[in-house]
Amino acid sequence: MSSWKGEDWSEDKFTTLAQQIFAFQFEYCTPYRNYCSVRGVSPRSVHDWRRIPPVPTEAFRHVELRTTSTPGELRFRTSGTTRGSSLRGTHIVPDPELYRASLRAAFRRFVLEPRGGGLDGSRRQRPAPGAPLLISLVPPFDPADGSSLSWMLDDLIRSVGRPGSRSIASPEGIEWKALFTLCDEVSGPADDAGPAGTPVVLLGTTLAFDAWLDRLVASDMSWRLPAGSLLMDTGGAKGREGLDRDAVFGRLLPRLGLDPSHLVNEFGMTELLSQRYGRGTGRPTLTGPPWLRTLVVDPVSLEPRPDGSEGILCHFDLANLGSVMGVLTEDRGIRIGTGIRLLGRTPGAPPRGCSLATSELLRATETG
Amino acid sequence: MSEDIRGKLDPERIPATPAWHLPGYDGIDDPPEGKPDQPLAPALTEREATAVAETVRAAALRARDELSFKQVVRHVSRAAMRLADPGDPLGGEAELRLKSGLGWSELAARESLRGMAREWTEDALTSLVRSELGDPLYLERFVEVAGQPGRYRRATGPPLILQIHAGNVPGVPVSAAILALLARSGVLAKSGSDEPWMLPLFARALADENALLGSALAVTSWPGNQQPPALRIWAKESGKAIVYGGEEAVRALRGRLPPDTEMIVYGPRIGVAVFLSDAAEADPGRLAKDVLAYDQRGCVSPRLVLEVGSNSLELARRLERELSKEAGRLGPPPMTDEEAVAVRRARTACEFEGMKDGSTLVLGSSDLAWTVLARSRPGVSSEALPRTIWLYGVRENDDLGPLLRPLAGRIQAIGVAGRDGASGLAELAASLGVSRVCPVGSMAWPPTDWRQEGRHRLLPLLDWTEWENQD
Repeated sequence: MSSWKGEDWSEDKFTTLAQQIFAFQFEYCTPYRNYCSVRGVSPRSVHDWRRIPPVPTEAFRHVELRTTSTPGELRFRTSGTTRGSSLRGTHIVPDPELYRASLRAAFRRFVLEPRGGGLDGSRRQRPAPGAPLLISLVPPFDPADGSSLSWMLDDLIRSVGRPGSRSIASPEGIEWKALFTLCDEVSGPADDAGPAGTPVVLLGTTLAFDAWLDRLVASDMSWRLPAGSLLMDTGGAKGREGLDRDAVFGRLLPRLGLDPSHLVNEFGMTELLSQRYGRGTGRPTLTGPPWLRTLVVDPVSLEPRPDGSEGILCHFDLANLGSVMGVLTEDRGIRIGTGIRLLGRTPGAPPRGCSLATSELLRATETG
Repeated sequence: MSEDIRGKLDPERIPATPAWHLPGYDGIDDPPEGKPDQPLAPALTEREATAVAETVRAAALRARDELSFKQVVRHVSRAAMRLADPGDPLGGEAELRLKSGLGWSELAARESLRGMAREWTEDALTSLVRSELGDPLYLERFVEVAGQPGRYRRATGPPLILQIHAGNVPGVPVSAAILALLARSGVLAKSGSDEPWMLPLFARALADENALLGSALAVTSWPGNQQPPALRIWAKESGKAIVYGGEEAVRALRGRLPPDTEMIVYGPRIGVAVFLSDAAEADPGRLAKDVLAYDQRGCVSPRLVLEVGSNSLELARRLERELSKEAGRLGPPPMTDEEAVAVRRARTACEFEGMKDGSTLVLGSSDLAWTVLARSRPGVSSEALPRTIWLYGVRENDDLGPLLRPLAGRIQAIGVAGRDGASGLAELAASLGVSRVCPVGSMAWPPTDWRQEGRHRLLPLLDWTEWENQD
């Protein structure tokens, strides 16, 4: 993507910005400077953004990767589910405004205006006027929990949604009754194009939509949501065991009067302030704003692999100004042009022969 | 990683060996080789599995009558030694199989097979039997008990022994089959999925050497998560069962065995190396050889290293050169994407953990060919990652006990460098159920008569008959 809303986002521009940010982070983020120095890399030695050392996500579990301290900084916590580590990582965001700007711009572009026009990409439906009603199936942000997803959705509800937008979940779970009531209220009499009411954007994890589907099937309920309505799921493509995104939405969308063009998959990470989005079921190609670039690298050498090859995803997010820009993940994926297709989390290394991790040995001792 | 090696073998000399050897099986001859998702061996029906078991049993019983113990030793030794001879067609194929199947370099494959062959010589096997039985003739006939005229004993294995292999160290299934054959038993074996080839190659060599013994050994494989008819039938027919592997493999077999069938388990264990306080001058190259032997896949391979009286960081630096040299000699390790990600994760955790106070040191090659994760504080945490050492500093000898006690029963071997406190460490090892304490540098090559997992290797396969003759 070389332009964004008329702005130039050429390779040169990205490289220039990336080098400036690398120099800034090298100077002010001490753990990162140490990490780079051990590898013999400094801003003077790097002329290609691809050579800026990315920090593995594991590092966020052990140190605070920050460039500055500010009174209004945000602290987000990772889920702590990575195999081999029970620690939760922390991503400190000294300047929430940058997060907001990145989040809102990409959400508007890729979710609300996917084809440069109305809320819905489907040409046969009437463009819906005004802002959509955003309903989140994720609990509101709780600083003690530090979920970046909650914070993001809260912000979108405030900044993008029309009045009445809200979360209908709490730490105890989703308020199913409220969701059912809402669907009753917004789903008017159906015609071919769907009711002409306010479009609804339902935001949640793939798991939450799966749980909703179970309830709809059990009570045999269905609606026709207003034209332009969307579902946006997050997390489902990361390979949660037993969760088949196609199976969930292949059954859920028809119960809401929607088709796969009304489904958006969001890819975000606590360690990144920018997100990618893709449309449809399956594993859609995920595109993002031009300040987020992703390499697919060889897991052993970390050298970039060519388009179409599978590898490990390594993101360079210029919005991560306050922490570290390059983040090396454990997610597998394929690069397709400027987009990526996520293939899931790299599973834990299998036991080698008769050797187990100490933790497993201890568990075996306890149970054996 | 598996590839079709048939093109690399000289068909004039010898065609590729199938991944199975099934005396009494009358099914297809052409193995479905080369496609990763296809099974490597035919799926036996109940009738076929029964026919194989009957053939193997009959051959084993006949061999008891027709072959002396010495003859059996000679035949099994000659057959096994062929695998370690790169000039022998079967030895050449064994190397190719390890290269293509496990991703090892030619040198690593060759050294691994040579290492295993140390216990396959006639002398080594005879000495193993002598060390456990005293007199090998117990395996052939009744032998009078010394000083007790008229009292005789004879040791016999059951007609059939079932073996479920893990396949982590390529020669181990061959050694296990040899021991069962020395016990005069027939063997029904399932190869490990990592390395299913060595045992069929041995079976083929054995059949060449002696057709009767070749018929007393059946080998096949099936996906680890399956319980095919062959497992059910073979479990029912066998007098004893040996399983190498973790809880899942044990559970799968236990459910199939008749209640009175004895099961011998070789479960997950780790190797630990301890550098005592006077080991400052110890040669770190010896540890490097222990680590890289069998690509650190063995249960004796050191993975956890403790240095007494030091913060371990200096030892890490001394190891750096040696590991780099040894890894360079043996070539890069085979590594899955999952393993590469796990190694990087472990490196990152160690590096960032110590960033504040300099208490850690991560050393390793950029191609992940080896890794040292050194922490100055005491610890025992480790993961089974390719060529990765978890090194911790320990203040004094007295700290070793509390540190290692949680791993009691799970340490296979302790390698020792230095002398200060070595006897105390040996006592500690005994109390922790460690089956071997040895110098660093010889951890990967235990003597043949080593009592693996604290027990004899041959005796558990045998049942004794006492004969008190009235004449």
